[in-house]
Amino acid sequence: MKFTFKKYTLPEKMFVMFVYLFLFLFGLACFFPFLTVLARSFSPEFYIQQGQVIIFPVKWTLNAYQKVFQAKQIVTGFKNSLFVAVVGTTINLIFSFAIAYPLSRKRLPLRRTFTVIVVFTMLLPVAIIPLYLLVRSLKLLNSLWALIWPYAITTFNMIIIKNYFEGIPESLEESALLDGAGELTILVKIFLPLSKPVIAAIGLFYLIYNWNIFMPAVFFLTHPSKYTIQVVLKDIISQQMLADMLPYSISMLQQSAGPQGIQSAVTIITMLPVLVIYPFIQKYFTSGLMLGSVKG
Amino acid sequence: MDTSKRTRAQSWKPLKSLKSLQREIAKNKMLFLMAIVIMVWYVIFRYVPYYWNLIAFKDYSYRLGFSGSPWVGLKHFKDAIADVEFRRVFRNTVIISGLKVFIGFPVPVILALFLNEVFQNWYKKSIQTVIFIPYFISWVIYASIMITILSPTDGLLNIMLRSMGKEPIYFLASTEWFRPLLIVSEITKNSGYFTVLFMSALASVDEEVYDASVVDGANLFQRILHINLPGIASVVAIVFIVRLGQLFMSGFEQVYALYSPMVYSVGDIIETYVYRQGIVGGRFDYTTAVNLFGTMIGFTLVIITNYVSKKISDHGLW
Repeated sequence: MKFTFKKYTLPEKMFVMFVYLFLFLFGLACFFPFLTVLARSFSPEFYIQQGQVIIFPVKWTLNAYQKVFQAKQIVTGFKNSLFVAVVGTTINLIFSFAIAYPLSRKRLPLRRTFTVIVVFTMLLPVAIIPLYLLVRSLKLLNSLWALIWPYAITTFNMIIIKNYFEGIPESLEESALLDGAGELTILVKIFLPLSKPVIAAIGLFYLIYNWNIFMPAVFFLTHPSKYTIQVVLKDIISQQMLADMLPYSISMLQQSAGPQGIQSAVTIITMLPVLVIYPFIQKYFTSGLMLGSVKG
Repeated sequence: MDTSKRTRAQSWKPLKSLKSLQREIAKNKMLFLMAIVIMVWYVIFRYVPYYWNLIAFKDYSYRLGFSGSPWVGLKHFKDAIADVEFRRVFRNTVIISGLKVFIGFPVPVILALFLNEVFQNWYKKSIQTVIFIPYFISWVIYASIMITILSPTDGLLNIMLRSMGKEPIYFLASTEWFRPLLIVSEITKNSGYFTVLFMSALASVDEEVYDASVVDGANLFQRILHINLPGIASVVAIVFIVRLGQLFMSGFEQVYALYSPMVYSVGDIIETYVYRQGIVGGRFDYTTAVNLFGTMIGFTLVIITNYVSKKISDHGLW
């Protein structure tokens, strides 16, 4: 059945028009701020402070970006974030598949016990202070590994993989087992090729999670040489808020260093990896993969 | 072939003798080993910290370690309840999280129902894309964007205020504005995620039900209320329960990125308080007690809501 606008009665038509307007305004509220920051990152400091940059850059310049790439702290932050994203995601995937595979097989001894142990961690989140003490006693404090090892598995993501694996018929692996193939061979040669869409989707989730990781970085990283880009950006915006509070003393500083443009440029660059990945993420989301896991 | 079938049938029984378990493990050695290796991770990084929550009942000192530190019973909990700052923090947490859930929660439901009524696919797609993006952006980035727009000197809102001849407002340092800003930014940042989730639930509503409703003369409003809304009710209920459980632990990144001492009185929440007292101040035992307090309330809420939801609507987490 296809509904058309023409067939609607007057109140229905008015409602639909309201719907369009409401969605437009909500979308605008979500999107507009991004445009402003983008425009600022390409504009000279002077025009930003004059309040002239709204959605289009005034006097196009790459000045802010050049300064960003010269700032040692910011470049270090990027390198650290990149490390956590790449190494972290690799470990995430290996660990998640290594447990999703056995849990999905009915022949796993003590399967129920393992499942309960794992699922319970979804209901009761781990408290940050005991985790901090653990990280400290493992000598991981102020190490990027502190952002990787305690977060090696996101149980929710792992369950999605497990549910997907459960759909793979046991007859496939049974013949391989009879031929004397090992479990790892079955996982790598049979299961992984069959679950490419899940690997891609979960891999992207982990990638974004690792790039955005913030709270553990605040708690576990103590020295600026280890700061991720998110923490560096937090420092920049803290200075900006301070500058907002003390307009006179800092306004001189603003003119020399141009923190507004730099803040916008760092914001854009930090956001960029997520924006690149986003179209793929959206594809998997709308395909109903996540819904299955929520219902399941 | 016959015997292997029988052993598998036995393995489904909940209670197994040790011997048959041994036999099963021997048969699936590698599979079992994989599970065990990852269980080691779960024990170290999840169950050990669970256990270490017990320092909430101890006078923890670094020198004595976890097991050496003496037990003090409920001392830290009593200290917390007697502490004016904790009471303020607790009140803020309840108010902020409560407003987020009760004002913020219906928004994605409405957005999903609305988007479902859009005829043009391109319009639907572009709105969906635009509102979905912010969910994947970290709170620090989002805070940076907010600070830019709300800046009292060159922020967009204050430029508008000034052009209307009004005094500029420093929103983020204002005790009146801080909480509303947390709620609104939570809505604009995270609604898209749940909207998309609810929309894929809507997509699975049966086409034939629509056809039947038209034959029965149902109008647009009746379709939304009696077909679409019930169609997503189970997913909505589950998401609601999950969010209630996170009531006391979902705001750190947002608040930490946006707050300043000027708005502690209205914006400081349990998690930021734990950070300042625990990590900066070194009071590990006391802050663990504070944290445990919040976790337990969240956990209880989930159990109660799940129970009520199952009674009323038959939908629940378990």
